[in-house]
Amino acid sequence: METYTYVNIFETKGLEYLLLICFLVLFVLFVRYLGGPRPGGGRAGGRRLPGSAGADRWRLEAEEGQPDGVVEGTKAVGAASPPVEVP
Amino acid sequence: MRRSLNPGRGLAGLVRFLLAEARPKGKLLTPFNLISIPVILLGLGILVVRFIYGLGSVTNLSQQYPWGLWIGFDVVTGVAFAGGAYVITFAVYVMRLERYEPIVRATVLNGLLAYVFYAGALTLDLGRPWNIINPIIGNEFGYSSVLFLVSWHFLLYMLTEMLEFSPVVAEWLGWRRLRRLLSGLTLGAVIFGVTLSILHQSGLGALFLMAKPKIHPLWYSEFIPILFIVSSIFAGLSLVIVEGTISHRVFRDQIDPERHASFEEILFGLAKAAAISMFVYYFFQALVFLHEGRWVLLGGFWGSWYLLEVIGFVLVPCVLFAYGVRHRRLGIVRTAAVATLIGIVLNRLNISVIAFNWNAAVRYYPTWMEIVVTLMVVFAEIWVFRWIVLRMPVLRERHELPAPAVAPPPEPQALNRSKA
Repeated sequence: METYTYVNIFETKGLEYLLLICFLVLFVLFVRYLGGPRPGGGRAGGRRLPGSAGADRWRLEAEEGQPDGVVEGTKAVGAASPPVEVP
Repeated sequence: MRRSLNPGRGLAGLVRFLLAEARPKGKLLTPFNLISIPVILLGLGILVVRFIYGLGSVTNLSQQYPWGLWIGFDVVTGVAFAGGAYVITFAVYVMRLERYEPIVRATVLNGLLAYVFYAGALTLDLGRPWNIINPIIGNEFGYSSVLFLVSWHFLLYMLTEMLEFSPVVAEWLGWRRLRRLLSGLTLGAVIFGVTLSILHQSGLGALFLMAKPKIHPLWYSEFIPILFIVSSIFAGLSLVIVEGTISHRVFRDQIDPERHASFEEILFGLAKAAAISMFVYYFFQALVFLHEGRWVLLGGFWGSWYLLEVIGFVLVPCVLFAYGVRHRRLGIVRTAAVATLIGIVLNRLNISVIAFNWNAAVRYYPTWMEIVVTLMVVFAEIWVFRWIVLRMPVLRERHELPAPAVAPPPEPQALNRSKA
């Protein structure tokens, strides 16, 4: 009769750990590759400058909803033009 | 753009409306009709013979090969192709990715019909099809059986998909109050449906865990259920890409020009998701390959056949998807989707038919009648899909999504006012 052997996770070998690390690294690179080239034409893995296209990814939706030039505290958000005080 | 007529008040008005809608719409003599009608008629004739004289009269199935093309393609492969429904409904209704809203109804309809036809084709393959109801009515409850789980999941998921699609039917019939009520149930149905889908996609894979001595070791592993779930994601997405591309050409007059323009963006989004899920799937395949030490099995026909599947129809389409998304090449994305679908057919047939009983002295080959019946099921599904799309608001008209589960953030102006 056929016996069944199930995977014992404590018996994993070094090669599998290596594969896992490679996968994690490649996965990050793959997702970045899928993101497409930056508008500035920079290298995918290059250093990110402040205010570059990559930084837009982390903008909050509330900030995006702000009309141009609205001041919130001391920080101007969503502003392409100089901040204007709200009366 | 064509809009459906509103049914009049009362039962008489409804009957008049349904009779008017039942009339054929569009041209009758199309290449698809000319091919599909003879195949469907021939398939129906074969089914009559099958139900009178039994499975042996039309199939090559035997005690050694109890599952053939009808199970391998219609059920195992068809259910994987229906995976697009749970992925897209999850994205639209739960994740609120509203850019995919234009394809959600067509995808749900496609998933529903896939289950009704492909899982329904299961009855053709049962020696005593009247016993199919047993797991449901409790005549033979087999709590420890994977088939018990799969049969319940199929039933529940078909009902869930009907519920998800029911607002479209209510809209078509002009029943506004009922439509509102059914739309309110959609989010719950979607969450229930996603849970069921994940469980029975893996359940189908789990069926093959019991056939370890019969499946070639290159395809057998304890991870089959996980591989089935992950592959159903990109199988479903690829089918949505192919089906959406065809629908947008065939039903061009049903769709706003504005939605035509946004469709390309939707395809790129789907291709991106498919590429990522294929990448993950490939990692799982590599992990299983290493863990089970399959190097020694790569020589000979089966090794080459396995490499063709995992490299030719998984890795290559994955790279094509990524290239197509990155360089905005729609033709490459569509090619990758077709290659992915071929890969899924190959994978599911390998596990259930081709590499099943791989070392048996007598091999199973489907008869021409099995192939005709399989084509009949596919054509019949397309006929029903077309009938519904030509009548109900599936592709045309933007519809409202049900209210989100969490309250939306306050308006920015209101925030400023409160701070001032």
